[in-house]
Amino acid sequence: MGKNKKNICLLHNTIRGDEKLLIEAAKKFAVNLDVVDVTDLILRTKGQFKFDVILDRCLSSTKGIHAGLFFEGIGIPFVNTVKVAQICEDKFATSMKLTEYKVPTVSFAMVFNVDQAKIAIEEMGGYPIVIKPTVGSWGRLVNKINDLDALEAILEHKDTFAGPIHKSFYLQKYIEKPGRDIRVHNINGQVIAAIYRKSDHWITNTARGAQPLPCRIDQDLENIAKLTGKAIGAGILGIDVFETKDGYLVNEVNHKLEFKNVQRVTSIDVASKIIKYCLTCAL
Amino acid sequence: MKANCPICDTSLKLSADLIESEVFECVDCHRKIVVKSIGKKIELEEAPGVEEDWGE
Ligand SMILES: Nc1ncnc2c1ncn2[C@@H]1O[C@H](COP(=O)(O)OP(=O)(O)O)[C@@H](O)[C@H]1O
Ligand SMILES: [Mg+2]
Ligand SMILES: [Zn+2]
Repeated sequence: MGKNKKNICLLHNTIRGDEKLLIEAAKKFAVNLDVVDVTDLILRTKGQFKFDVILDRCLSSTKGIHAGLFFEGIGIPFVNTVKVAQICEDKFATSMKLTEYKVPTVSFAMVFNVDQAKIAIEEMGGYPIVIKPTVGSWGRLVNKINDLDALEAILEHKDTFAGPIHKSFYLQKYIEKPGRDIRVHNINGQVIAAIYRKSDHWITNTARGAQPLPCRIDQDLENIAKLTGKAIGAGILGIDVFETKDGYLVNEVNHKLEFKNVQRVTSIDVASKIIKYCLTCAL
Repeated sequence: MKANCPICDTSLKLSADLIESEVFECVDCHRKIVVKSIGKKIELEEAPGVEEDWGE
């Protein structure tokens, strides 16, 4: 280890293209980058950890948050903070923060049984609506419900076969999109890059095959991304935004950016900006 | 670098910049393979399936 060099720990449980970009980017800085598999760790307060900052790239949100609780607890900065991660990990928590900060967002409701769901849907303007797990990613179990029959079917299946997390029903109004949505990145309050995610399907995750295309950041997009950053807290944020005739709406916020597509189509060096931000957080 | 796919046993030509914990797709069976270790010998394993809390 170099003497004055900062020790950054890249904590992961799988190396993907994004992590490889981070490893490459770190070579441009005077840092030591330790690539550590979270499943190799023993999180015990007697342990010796010589990191100045930890960049959480764990695929598993749960393991990432547990590692964060540990490292923040022993005084090592963790990026993103556990506070930010816990808000982003849970879509309902995100919705409540966005509401608190008056960020324009998709109309939502949380209910715990089918009768309340029917009432909430009526209040939200009727079908279609979207139901999604509060914890999850890549468009998994994000379902569009077009009528009462489908609502009853989906909720009965969740109630019968799914774990407790899936029995808190997080509902959103279905928003008509122009065949795409927007992913905009906010790093430490700076709005640095955006892409469209274009798809023939209404689910526009790139993990589900949507095409990433460069997106110009106009003033309104910058404003809503900055306001979202204020609501969630400083960190590395990937904000999903819908375009509507009444302006932008934030759909959700991600705390573990998959930025390789953004970097490829915009030529913006997101990886370097992430490393730079880690250095500003380091001991 | 060369190694056989742990699932379909195809002989794989691995790129030189492969690192530990990296995931790639077998050219033959298209299953996801993870690099367990790189030492004198390369150890490959079938990559674990997606968990509920994985992602962004
Ligand atoms: N309320 C909605 N109206 C229209 N499309 C939606 C809505 N919610 C989600 N989607 C579509 O589904 C995708 C995945 O949903 P999202 O809430 O971002 O969950 P995930 O965490 O799985 O990415 C979004 O990018 C969007 O294309
Ligand atoms: Mg999303
Ligand atoms: Zn194979």
